[in-house]
Amino acid sequence: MFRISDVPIDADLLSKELINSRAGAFVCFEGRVRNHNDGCEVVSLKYEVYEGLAVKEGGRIIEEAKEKYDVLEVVGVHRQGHLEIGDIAVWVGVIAEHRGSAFEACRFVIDEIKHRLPVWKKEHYMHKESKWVNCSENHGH
Amino acid sequence: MKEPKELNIHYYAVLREKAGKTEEDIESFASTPLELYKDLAGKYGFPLDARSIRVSINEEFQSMDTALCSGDCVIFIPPVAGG
Repeated sequence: MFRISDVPIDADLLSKELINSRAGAFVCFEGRVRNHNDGCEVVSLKYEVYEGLAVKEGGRIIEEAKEKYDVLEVVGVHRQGHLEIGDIAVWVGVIAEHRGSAFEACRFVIDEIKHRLPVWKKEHYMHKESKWVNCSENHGH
Repeated sequence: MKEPKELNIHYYAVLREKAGKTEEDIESFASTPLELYKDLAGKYGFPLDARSIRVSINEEFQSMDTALCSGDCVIFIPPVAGG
C-alpha cells in the first residue's frame, strides 16, 4: 500500500501494519529532512505532490517490489506540505521471511520513489533565496 | 480547417509559480505535449528546457510526442525530487 500524507508520519503506527507471524524480518527506511544541502544551511522545506499520479505510481512500485523480491508486505508513505528539520519525509517498510529480500526490496522501493514519484521539493535556506531542487535552468532529467 | 483542442492544464512546483496559477482551461492548436510545452514556456517564461520535462495525460505518464485530444488533462512534470 502506498499513500501521501499531509500530517507527520507516525513510524510506530505504520510498523503495526506490518505484523505477520510468518515474517522473520522487518526492514524500514526513514528519509528525514536534514539541515544542509549542497553546502547551504536548510531551515525547512516544502514538498508539493501531484497526488493522483503519485499514489498510482507508488502503488506500481510496491507491486513491482512484491513481484521482484520474496517479501510478504510493503508499505510506503510520502509527506506533502511544509516540513521542519528532522521530520520524516518518506517511510518505507517491508516484511519478509528472511532479511536478504527485505533489505533488497526496501532499497528498491526507496530508489524508485526518488526517481519516479511526481514530488517536488522547495528548500528554504538560512542565507539565500528558496529554491526548487533539481529545477534550476538547463537541468537535465 | 484545423480546430483548436480544449485542454485542461495543471501546474506544479516551479511551473505553477511561473504561470501564477494552479490550472487553466485553454484552446490550443498544439498537436503534442512537446509543442504545447514550448507554447506555454514562451508565454510564461518557464525556466526548464522541454528535454527535462515529462508529461502526464489524464493521470498517466505519456510520451511528449503523444497526440493530444480535446478534453485531455495535461500536467507537465518538472524534474522530481522526492524522498
